[in-house]
Amino acid sequence: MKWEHYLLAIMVILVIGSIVLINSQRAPGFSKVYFDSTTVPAYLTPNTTYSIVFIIESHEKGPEEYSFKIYLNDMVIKDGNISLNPGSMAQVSFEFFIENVTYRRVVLWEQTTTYNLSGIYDITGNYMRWGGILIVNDSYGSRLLEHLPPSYAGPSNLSFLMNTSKNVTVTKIVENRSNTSTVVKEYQLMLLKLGEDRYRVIVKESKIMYLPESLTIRVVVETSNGKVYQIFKRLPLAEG
Amino acid sequence: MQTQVAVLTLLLVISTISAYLIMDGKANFRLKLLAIILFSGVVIFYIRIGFGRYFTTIDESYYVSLLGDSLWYKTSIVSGYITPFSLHLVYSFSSDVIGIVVRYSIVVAVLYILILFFAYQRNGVSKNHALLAILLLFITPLYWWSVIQIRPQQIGVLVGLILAVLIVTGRPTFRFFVGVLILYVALIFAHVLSFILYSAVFVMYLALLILWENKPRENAKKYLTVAVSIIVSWIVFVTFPYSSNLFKNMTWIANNVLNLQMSVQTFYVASTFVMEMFLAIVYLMAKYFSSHNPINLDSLKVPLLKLVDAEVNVFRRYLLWIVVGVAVLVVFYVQFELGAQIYTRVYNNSTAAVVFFQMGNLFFALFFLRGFFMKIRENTMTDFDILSVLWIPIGVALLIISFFMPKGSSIWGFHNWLVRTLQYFVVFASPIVAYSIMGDITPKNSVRMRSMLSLLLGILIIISVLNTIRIPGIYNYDTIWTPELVNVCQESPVSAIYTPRVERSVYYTFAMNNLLKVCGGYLKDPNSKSPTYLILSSDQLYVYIPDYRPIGLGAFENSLQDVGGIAWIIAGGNRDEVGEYALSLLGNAVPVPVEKDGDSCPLSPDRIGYPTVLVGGKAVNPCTLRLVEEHVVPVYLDSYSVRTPTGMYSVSHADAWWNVEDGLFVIQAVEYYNTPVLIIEGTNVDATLAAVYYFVEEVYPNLFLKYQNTKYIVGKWEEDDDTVIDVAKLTSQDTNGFSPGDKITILETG
Repeated sequence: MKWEHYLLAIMVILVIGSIVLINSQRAPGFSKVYFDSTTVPAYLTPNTTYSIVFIIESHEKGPEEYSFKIYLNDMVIKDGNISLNPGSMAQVSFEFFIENVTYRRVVLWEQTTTYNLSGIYDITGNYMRWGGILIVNDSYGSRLLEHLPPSYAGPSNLSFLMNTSKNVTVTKIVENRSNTSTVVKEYQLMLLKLGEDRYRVIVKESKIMYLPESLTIRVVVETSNGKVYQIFKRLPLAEG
Repeated sequence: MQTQVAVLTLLLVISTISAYLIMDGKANFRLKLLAIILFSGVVIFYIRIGFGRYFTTIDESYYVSLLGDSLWYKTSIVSGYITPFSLHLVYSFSSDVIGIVVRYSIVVAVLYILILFFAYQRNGVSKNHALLAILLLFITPLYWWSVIQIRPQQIGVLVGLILAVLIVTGRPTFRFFVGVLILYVALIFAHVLSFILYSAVFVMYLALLILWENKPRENAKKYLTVAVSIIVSWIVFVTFPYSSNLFKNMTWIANNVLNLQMSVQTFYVASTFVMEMFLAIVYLMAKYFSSHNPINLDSLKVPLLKLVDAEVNVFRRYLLWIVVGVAVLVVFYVQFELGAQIYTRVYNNSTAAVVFFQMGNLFFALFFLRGFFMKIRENTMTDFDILSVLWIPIGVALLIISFFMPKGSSIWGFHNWLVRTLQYFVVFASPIVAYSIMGDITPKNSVRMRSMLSLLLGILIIISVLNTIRIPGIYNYDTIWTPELVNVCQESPVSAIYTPRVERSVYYTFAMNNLLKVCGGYLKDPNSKSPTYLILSSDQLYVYIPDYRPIGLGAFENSLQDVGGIAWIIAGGNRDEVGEYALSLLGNAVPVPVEKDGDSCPLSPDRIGYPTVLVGGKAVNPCTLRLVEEHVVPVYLDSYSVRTPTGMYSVSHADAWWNVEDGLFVIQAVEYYNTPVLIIEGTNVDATLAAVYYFVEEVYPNLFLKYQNTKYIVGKWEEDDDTVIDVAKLTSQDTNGFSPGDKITILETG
């Protein structure tokens, strides 16, 4: 062996020592809090028990104390404390149950139309039946029978006879239910007699959706040295 | 702190041993080479992960970010293709981004040493000389920055070096021509700036050879070989289908520097023409002067020899070194002033820190000048040495150009391109530096001198390494990736949205966003509206899951049935007619008004229920803009192109915005709170209308049967019947536009 071989051997040892030391240099510690996404539902239905898991992961330099609180909207449903060593993690599961659904009213579309009518017998549409009298609207044009009270066909296929001596309000509601919402179409008709063969007709049409109020699950974790982590998920509610 | 001291002490010992080994004439050169490779590897490793964070740079983090983009060569501006291609190749075997970055730079560092050793040897220096030259490169941070940064220049320097060896040592045969041509094409695809700089050096060098050497025919052949290779490789690059993004950038720089308004096409032609003219004029001038008025090299050497001959006059020697010293300091001062804002920040406003950490560069410069004077005096200048000298005027020229460069952004600046040139210069200058030191090592004083020199070099190397690593506390440098960021990035779901919890510098944020892109996510402004699913919280980051996700178009029909066939329409733009046309086609739909200003997209968890149709692109529809900004749509569209997960399509630019004859469109769907949102958009209004028409006529009736799982449809509308529907008439002069009789071609579905 020559001297330079020994020198190289020393160098290799020093190189390995350097690599070990470089690797031992640690950055400031950190922690992670996260949901186990496989346990988080896309939406909730009433009268069902849900179990969600969240995880606390410690990458701190030493043992760390964690306290946690779990909120359903603003209400605490579970709390606790956990101790973790560096590089370890804890899974925390919690359960909750939704009994009642509250709804939020969302107006999708609404329109109010006012008609001032006088001496009008104009009826469109194919036919309508009223008090045993048939009004026909065919290829020969509108055939209106004499001595009929004033009549009118308005938007949305609403037809009515204006033979009234007092004010009238008619409301029609059509409801469409789906998994996640209820859609209501409201037709409101107000007839006001202004004088002989003179009427004011107000037609209110609206489409309103009733959406179940969503809920928010929130987890707040605090370490003993004051670091705070929070995770949350807003969960839409579906009708059961 | 103790660990840091221990590491630095070990590195100092290793570098001193390496220096001593290399300066020992008797030791086996393979052992020396191994020692130098080992040391280099450890240094790169230390720079990369020392001080508890992952080192990166602005340029490098950008190129690493391209790993998150499979179509990077079409969409991104890159100054070379070999590096991002190699990175993608490695990435296909391992998804550990940080591991790839660390290992890649160590492998390249080893490659550098082997190629440098080969290059120095081929240029006539001894093995010991070559090894010492490599070791001396370690004393300058310019070398480490060049080696460690994963960017095109890293490979460009090496390809150019091999090319230099061939040009300097080769004979102008056909094989020489083929070799130079291949290497030149490789060089331009490795790094365009390297191509330009090396070309300038080679042209100057070969012109000088024609002037000085008594082999005019051979040198003229070499010149013509290089000139043809430059032009051919430039034309190949210009015609390369994906280089247009870079050329747009180059045109922008040229326009700013020369105060012109060239189009990219003009730049193609002008640059090729100027290049050809320049090469021809230099050649003709060199030929003319070599035959009519040859320059006697010896006549140039005499005044230089007089200047550097220390034996003649002691006063003159001191005067010379004072002048040299002042010149070097002036260069450093100008360098500092050019980037004063950055350097003041990086060095924490400490002049002492600037001087201390530039020691390696200062010594390198002084050793170089000493070696240069020695070589002049001893008449031992080689062609390779001449190349190193030729880098100096190139650097000065770029320094001057730097003053006229556009300022760029806070991240991408064109402040100082002399530094770039110096990174090439040191590679060529190091044999001269080694020459000046070898002169001090003689058999008589060997042990003491070698020990002293080894220690000096060891210290300079450590200073150079500390300069490169930007040690925290002394340097204010945070273009880094923290282990927390890496951990969160690698373990978070793909398509996650990240929000920083603490405010950091633009440099940190830029590097962070680039890493997050590789993980499939992106960084969101903490002040903007956040999604409603915060899945992870760490010390630095919040990680959200987007409220939207791509779905099949069929979901639209299913949802429509649930709500009695009613859909919302959110149409963007100032022209209500477009929305009305869509409404007239879509039948039982309800228009939802859009405010004209701000983030006025009416979609929110509190106002969603009906399946929704968005009509119009991101420029006109705030909801489409939101989806694009949240990176949730599979297909992206702008004024002239469409980008799908697997390809890109584009249409030509129209002469007048109202007078278009074709356009691209996209129909795609995302889910938002269990409700499908359909997006119908085009590169122009006519294409958008065509998309609405195509959806109503073809897609909607077949949603269940044909498009149940189709997430997007990309089509092209072309004017075919010279008829325009009224709503598509944007001005009274508009004669082209959509009508149902036009041609619609589907380009891609997915």
